[in-house]
Formats: sequence, C-alpha cells, structure tokens
Amino acid sequence: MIKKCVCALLALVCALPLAGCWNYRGLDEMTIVVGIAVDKDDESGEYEISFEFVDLAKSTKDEGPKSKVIKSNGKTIFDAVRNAKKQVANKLYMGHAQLIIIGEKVALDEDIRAILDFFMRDGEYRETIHVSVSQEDSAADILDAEATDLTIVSMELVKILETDNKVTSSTAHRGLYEAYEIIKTDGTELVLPAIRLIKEGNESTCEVNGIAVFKEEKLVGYLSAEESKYFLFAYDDVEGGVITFPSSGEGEDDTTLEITNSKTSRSVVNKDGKPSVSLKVEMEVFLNEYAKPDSKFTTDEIAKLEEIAAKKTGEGISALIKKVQSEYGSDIFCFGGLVNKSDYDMWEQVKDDWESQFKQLEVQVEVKVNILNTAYLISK
Amino acid sequence: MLITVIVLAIYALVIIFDYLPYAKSWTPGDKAVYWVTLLIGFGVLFLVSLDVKLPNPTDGITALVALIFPNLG
Amino acid sequence: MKKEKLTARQTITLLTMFFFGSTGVLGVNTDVGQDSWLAFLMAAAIAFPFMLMYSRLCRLYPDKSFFELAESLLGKVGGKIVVALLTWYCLHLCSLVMRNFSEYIQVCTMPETPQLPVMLFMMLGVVYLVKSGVETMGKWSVLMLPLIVAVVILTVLFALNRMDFSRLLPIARHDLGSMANSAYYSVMFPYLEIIVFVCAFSGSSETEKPYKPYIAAFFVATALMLTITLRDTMILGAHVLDALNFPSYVAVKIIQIGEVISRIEGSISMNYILSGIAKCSVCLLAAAKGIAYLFGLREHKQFLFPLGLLVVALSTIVFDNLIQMFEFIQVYNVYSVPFSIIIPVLIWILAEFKHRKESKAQTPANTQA
Repeated sequence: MIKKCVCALLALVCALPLAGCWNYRGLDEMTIVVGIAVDKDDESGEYEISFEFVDLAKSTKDEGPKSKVIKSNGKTIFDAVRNAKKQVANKLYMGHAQLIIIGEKVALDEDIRAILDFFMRDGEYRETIHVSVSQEDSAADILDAEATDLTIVSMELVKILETDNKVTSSTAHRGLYEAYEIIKTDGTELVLPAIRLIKEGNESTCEVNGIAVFKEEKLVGYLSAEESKYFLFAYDDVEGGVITFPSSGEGEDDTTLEITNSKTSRSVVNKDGKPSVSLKVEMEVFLNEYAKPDSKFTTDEIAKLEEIAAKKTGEGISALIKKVQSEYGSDIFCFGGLVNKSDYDMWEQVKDDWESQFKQLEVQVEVKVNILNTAYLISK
Repeated sequence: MLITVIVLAIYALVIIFDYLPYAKSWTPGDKAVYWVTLLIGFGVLFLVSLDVKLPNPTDGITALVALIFPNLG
Repeated sequence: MKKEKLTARQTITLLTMFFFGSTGVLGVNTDVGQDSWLAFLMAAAIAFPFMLMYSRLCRLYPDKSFFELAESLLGKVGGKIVVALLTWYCLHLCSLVMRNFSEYIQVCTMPETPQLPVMLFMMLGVVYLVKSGVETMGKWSVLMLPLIVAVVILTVLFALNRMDFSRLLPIARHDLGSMANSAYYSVMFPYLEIIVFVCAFSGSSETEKPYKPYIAAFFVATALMLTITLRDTMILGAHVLDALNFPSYVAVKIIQIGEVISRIEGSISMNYILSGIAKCSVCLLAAAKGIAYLFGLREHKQFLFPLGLLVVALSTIVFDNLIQMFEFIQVYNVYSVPFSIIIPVLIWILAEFKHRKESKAQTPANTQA
C-alpha cells in the first residue's frame, strides 16, 4: 500500500519538471513580435529598434490579426529589446519573429556581423528569420506601412521573399543562419533583399526592390530588380520568373517568356594557374506574350526567338558580373566558394588575394533557352 | 530560498523512505558508507543552494594537467 | 547472491545509448569544419582495437568482474588503488554528464529554470533505474534505443529540403595533424569511456561471446553519431557548425516542411535526456559497485540514493560556467588517459600473461594424466 503511494508521489513529483512549470508564461502574457526593424540614432549613437507585434485585442476573426508597432532605444540591440518592456505590459516574445529589417544607415556604417551575432546568439529567435535591408531613411518606416494582402507587414514581406524566386526572380532571400554562414566563409559575400516604400498620397505600401550588396561587413550598393534576376541566374537560384526581349532582336521588348525550369551549371577551369569560371544556363520556358500580329509560329522562328532571348540573357549576366567586379569588387556570386569546393589546390593559391583576383576573374556565360510551348495560342 | 527548501525536502524524503525502513538489516559498514555519502552530498548541496562558493575540482585537475602540458587549460 | 545478467541484445542497446549519451548533445569535435565527420570516422577506427581488447578481457575471465580481476592481478593493495581510481573516474564522469545535460537544458530549452532542480529530478529517475537492477536497465534500453534511432532517422528525412551536399565540400582538405587532433577528442569522449561500462557490467553479461555485442554496439553508435554529424554539417555549414555550442539543436530548429512539420527540436531533447539517463545510470552503477567492492560490502544497491545526490552535488560545483565546460574537454583528453587507457591496457596485458601461465600449467598436468 505504502509502495503504491510512494510510486504515485514519485510519478507526480517527476511530472513537475515535464511541464516546465518553473517559469510558466500564459499566451496572454506574451507580446508576440513578428517583425523587427534595426535603426541607429546618429546623435546619441543608440540603437532604435522597432517591433511589430500582433495586437491580440484588436484582431478579430473577420478582419484577421492586426499589428502594432512600438519603438525603443538602447545602447546595444539587446538593451533596446529589454527597454521595450518599459512600454508594454507583457514581455516581448520573439519565438515567432519572422523578419529583420536593417536600416540603410546601419548597414552602411555598422558591422553587420555584430547584428547577426546578437540574433544568432539569443535563443529565442528562430535561426530561419529572414534578414533584409531597408532602402528608406529608416527601417521603422517599412513597419509603419500598410500591408496589402495580409494584415501584418512583416508576414506579408516574408511571404513575398519566400515565393519570389518562383514568381518574379527579382531578389534573393537569406535566412539568419545562411547569412551568418556566408559572412563567415571566405570567398563569398553577403547579399540581402532590399525593401522600399511606394507612397501614394498619405498611404505607403512596401515593395521588394532588388538586392543589397555587401562587401565584408558593410553595405556597398544595390542591384535593381532586373539586375537581381541576372544575379539569380549566376547563383543558380531561379525557379520561375519572366524574361522579356524584342522579338526582332532590337528595339522595345515585346515578347515575354515564362520560366518554368532553370539550371545553371557553374564550373571552374584552371587557365595558366588562374581560375576561369564558366556558367552554363539552361532554361525551359513557355512563350506567354507576343505582341506582333502575324502568321503561325514555325520551329525556325521559335529557334530564332530562343537565340535572341539567350543572347540577351547572356549579355545581361555578363554585364552584371562586370558591373559588380568593377563597381563593388564584392564576390556576391560565390565564385570563391566554387573554386574552394571544386579545385582546392587552386584555391590555396588564390585565396589570400581573392578580392583582386575576383575583379579580374574571367567569366564565360552560355545561355540556352528552350521554348516548350506557346501556351494556348498557336498563331502569333 | 526555494532551492534550499527543495534540497532539505529531498534529503528528508530519502532518509524517511530509503533509510529508515531498511536500516535494520544493514551491517555497520553499510550504514557508515550510507551516512558518509549522504552527509557529503547534503553538505555540498546545502551550501550551493545558499550560494556559497565552493572549491572547484576542475581547477585542481586543470592545474595537474598543466604541469605536464603547460599549453593546455 | 543471484547474479544479474544482461543478454547480448541488451548489452548492444545499453552500450549504444551509453556511447550516444553526451556526444549527441555536445556534438563531435568541430575544429575541422566540414571534415568533422571524417575526423569522427578516424576516431572510430582508432577506438576499434580497444573494443576488441575489452571483448578479449571478457573472454579470458568471464566470471570475474573487472574489479576482482584487478585485485587478482595486482594484489590486494594494487587492486584497491585501481578500484579507487576507477570509482572516482566513474563518479566524476557521472557528474560531468549530468552537468552537460543540465547546461543543455538551461541554454536551449528552459533558460529561466535553475539547474539544480532539473538535475535532482533527472537523478531521481537514474537512481530508480539503477536500483531496479541490471535486467531492468537492459530491458529499458531495448525499448528506448529504437525510439532514439527513429527520431534521428525522422529528423534526417525531414531535413532533406534544407540539406545541401555542397556544404561538405571540399572533402578531406585539412592536414592530417588537425584531423588527428580532432579525432583524438572523439576517441577519448565517448569511445574510451567504455571502461565505465565494463566496470559496471563485467561478470554480469552473457560473456560466452562478448565480441558480438561490443562490436555491434560500436557500429550502431558510430552510425548514429555519423548520421547526426553529417546532417548538421549539411544543414548548417562548416562555420555555423563550429560557432554553435549545441549544433544539433539549432540544426533541428531549422527543419521546416510546409507549415506542419516545424519546431520539432523538442524531440531531440527527448533523445538526449533518454541517452543521458542511460549514461548516468551506467556510470552510477559502476561507481556503486566500486564503492561496495572497496569497503567489502556485499550489496551495492543500498546507498544509491545518497550516491546519486552526491553526484548531483559534485555536478553543481564542477564547472563555474558553460565556457569552462567546453574548455575542460581539452583537459579531459589528458586527464582521462590514466583511467581509460593506462589502467585497462595494463590489466589486459597482465591478464594475458596470467592466462598464458595458467594454460601452460594445465597442459603438463593434462599430458601426465
């Protein structure tokens, strides 16, 4: 009898730590943060962090979750996070935070490694948080904007970023741990998606606008949405998107191809002790828009269109690589990583000097476009 | 404070449920080992729960190893 | 006194969980970045002869426990010294493992909970397991190991969309010196800790064919830890892997399939606690047997509760902070050599000599008869 009592007591006692009841926090005692914007005040040198959190009071079943933004200051980022408690009743809970927006000034002046270090080190943040850069004066402006489709700006931006390379291929997205790994690896530089505001009268909505280019730990420039597409081709990260080109080879773009599949084979060849990169893009597309009225398509005409499209894409990629080499000198295409992984001995020779090596790197681009069908219409 | 209470409670429970019912059938050697381990453990845990800083055996081991391999630790 | 035995299958499962114990939590040594798995394989190759050595010891003297063997080879005084040293090692190791786990729980899962209650409750379970006897430990491990393996396999399957094989490249480009250094860590911790298992269970496992269980456990544990290392490297990348305190936990945090399969890191916490309990219970059993042997007591089960609490007490004072815990691994490499290499090899060599003498003494008698 007493043994049963002891067993029951033991089971009960052992059950206590199972629920983590030492520091129980109810759902209504948490402020669930979804988006974080990092800015820095020039005069005081303090970090200004804005948090977009879900406003559980105002959220209704019909209208969906609503969000609120609060700002707080602190000498370091964690200081600012804790200082936010001075304004809210419940402690901020970061487990659902999905987006970090870094202000342009912060990215230009501060060491991004310090920012990434905090978010990686603190256990509450998921390592899959998306990191982005704001092109506006302050990152907080992005969080203050109106969301279009969903009701919370951060969640909308995350959805945009995640689906982008399947739909528009106009930007890259990086999770926190991916960004951290890239920063720490030699032979590759960080890119982050860039976000801007579109102002219409009093309202402003946010839009993803290309890529922010980093060199070492600081922001050095941006690539436009069109250039970002060529970047994604070079990086082998295109899963969808659209290519426009003039069907006659010159003039205005009037034909549109929808990409269904794209693969870039990246390889390195040793040319007299120097690396030479070769990119072979092969994509399968649908012809989705053709503006000039005429007769039916023939395979020859399709082949010609394929050639023009391939030429334009190839030239675009080469031009972008040259631009990045001369203007930024930052190996955002991970060519250094490519050399490292495929030809380690050559990497040993060039790695100390990779910055200047990258600027002179010879890159050959070959593009092959396969038009699989012309959608519903057979005639043009 | 809470932790001290937990430590005291657990040791009390151990003595009540583990020692008293069975101690009659033990040799003096058994009892001696039991009490020595109990008291050493209790002393250390009690002091730790009161936030008293106790000497760290790791420091001793590191010092010993450092005699052989000075660059470690 | 009835001799409690472990069947061969139970030996395999318990020994596998013992090996997996704290290496799953802390991860294998990651100094060589993307080649950590290769260094780990090297470690396995180096540790394999030791497994054979221990199996041979069991084969030579199947009825004697390791302590009795030490006494018969080294005499009463020498035997007692060896047993005392090994008992201290088992106690210390138990407290180190306990501390590993409570630090893991504090950093990763429950940051606001103080470590002492966590350790106390875990030790309660461990003591109860050891008190229930050797067969219970064996049967429990037979049930738990498939669970652990299933969780590992599931995490690998779910992680496929986040794994990138190119993170393992370039393969084997670190120099042999740093690979050997990294391998040495894995040899000492966990493989050569098998001495603790031998102390606890020698003389009480089915020892007619000791080779099969030990070697089978060795391979299963190696496969498990290799899988985990590869999975972590392919998800995280070499630099993040090296930068993290607990890389497996973060790697599983990243796993996400759609909206449903995410945040599954709780399952590997369960894995670790189970294997931690297995490792602690084996260490505690070895320590208890050692103390019983030293003081000439016939039963080791009486003082398990105070001993367990003593281990908890030791684990609270053994490290000041997490950083010291990781730094200690380097010191441990040297500190454990006498216990896990010198003493066992010495005993084995002396046992071989004695066995040879005995078999020579027998053959003249046989030919005469």
